[in-house]
Amino acid sequence: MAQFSLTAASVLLLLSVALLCTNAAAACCSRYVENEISIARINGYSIQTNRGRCHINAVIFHTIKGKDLCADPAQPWVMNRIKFLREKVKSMKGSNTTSQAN
Amino acid sequence: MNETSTVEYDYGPSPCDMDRNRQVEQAAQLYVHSVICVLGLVGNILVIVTYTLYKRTKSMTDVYLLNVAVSDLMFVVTLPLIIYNEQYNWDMGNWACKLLRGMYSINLYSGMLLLACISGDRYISIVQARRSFRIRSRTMAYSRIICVLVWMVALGLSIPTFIYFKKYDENDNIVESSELDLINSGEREAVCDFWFENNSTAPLMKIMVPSTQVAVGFFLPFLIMCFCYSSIILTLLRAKNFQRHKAVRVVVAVVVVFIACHLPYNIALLYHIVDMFRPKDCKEQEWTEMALTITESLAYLHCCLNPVLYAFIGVKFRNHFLKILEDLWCLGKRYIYSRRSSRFTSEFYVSRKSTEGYNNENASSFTM
Repeated sequence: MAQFSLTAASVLLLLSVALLCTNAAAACCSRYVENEISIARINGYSIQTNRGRCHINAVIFHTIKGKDLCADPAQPWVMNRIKFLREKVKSMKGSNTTSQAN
Repeated sequence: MNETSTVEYDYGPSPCDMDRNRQVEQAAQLYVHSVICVLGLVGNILVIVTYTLYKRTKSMTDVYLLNVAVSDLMFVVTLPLIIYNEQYNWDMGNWACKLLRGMYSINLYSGMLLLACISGDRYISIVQARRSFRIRSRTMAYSRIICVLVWMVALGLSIPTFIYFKKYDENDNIVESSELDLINSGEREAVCDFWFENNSTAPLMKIMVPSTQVAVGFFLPFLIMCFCYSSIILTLLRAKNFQRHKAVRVVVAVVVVFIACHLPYNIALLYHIVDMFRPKDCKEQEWTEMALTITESLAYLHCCLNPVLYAFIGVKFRNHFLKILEDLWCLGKRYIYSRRSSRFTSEFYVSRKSTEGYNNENASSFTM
């Protein structure tokens, strides 16, 4: 029995040491902007998938002011912006600017 | 170009970072889960040791109680491993992620279903007492078969967890980005969570898995327990007997603790399921997640209360346990003088066997 409580104590110690360092969690969109965002305010975009932790598909627009805004990929204007940005990226440089995460 | 309304767009919904929930989770893990872990380890190991070494004759309930203790113990053992991995990027790898989460799921289901079996067993022996005499002879075989079935069902229901839980990079939630630094950022945080190859199976399974958990892992055993224990209480109250009233109190304690531990979590889980795809603010999102985290800790608490509620409350079990303490004390004393402990243990095995009676009755596990 004493052995068991010893392992328990070491587990506890390990736990408390482990918990002292904190990590940042990934952010997920949980709702969409209601109005269109003008193309002039958009710097770039990211696409969030519902295949992992996030529950909805979303397009995250990165604005000039440094904010991230969530948009609905089902909206035609959102896809238009993405098309435009993709073209912009393509024209700016070669193949190494677009990348696939997995 | 700068219309007045576009200024407002920068105040639109942003991705919600769950830092606050993360902090609550870490506090829960540090203070609550570690206590649960230690208490659960000690309590359930005591139950298992007592049953395997000392209680030579096992009733149907004993078989269930032993299985509950094994299930709770496995749960308590996986808990620190999961917490450790969450902190260290799941450095034990993808298989550890699948195995630990799968084990967690198996033990959740088996634990809950076995508690329902115990209530059913008590129902048969108390309410259907006359009929149970005929069944008794075959009960041991039955209880073993039922336990195997419970574990099989628990394993079956955990298959989606085995399949769909995966270790992946947190940035993988972003499939495509114009920002290279976002994808190739230096710090890669690994998570162990659902990951689906297919866009359409994702929402289905995200609903199905927790729904099954609420239905089979809570409501089914809850309904069985409600039926069995209310019939038991009615039967006990009809028989006017002092001892019986104590038994009623035990039954009430068992049910109240079960409800207190699992109802809040399952309500939070149910709300989470219903609410999953509804657009909501970060504040709302945060509250739902936090409610889940807090109520989940409460549900975990149940696995260290089971040994007290089911095993230690029984007179027979306590007697066996006292014997263990006595023997340990003697053993310790002996061990100091002569180090031939292996011969000694086999010796007291035999003596234990001969002194133990065969008058074990099922209801003894629940008289105080």
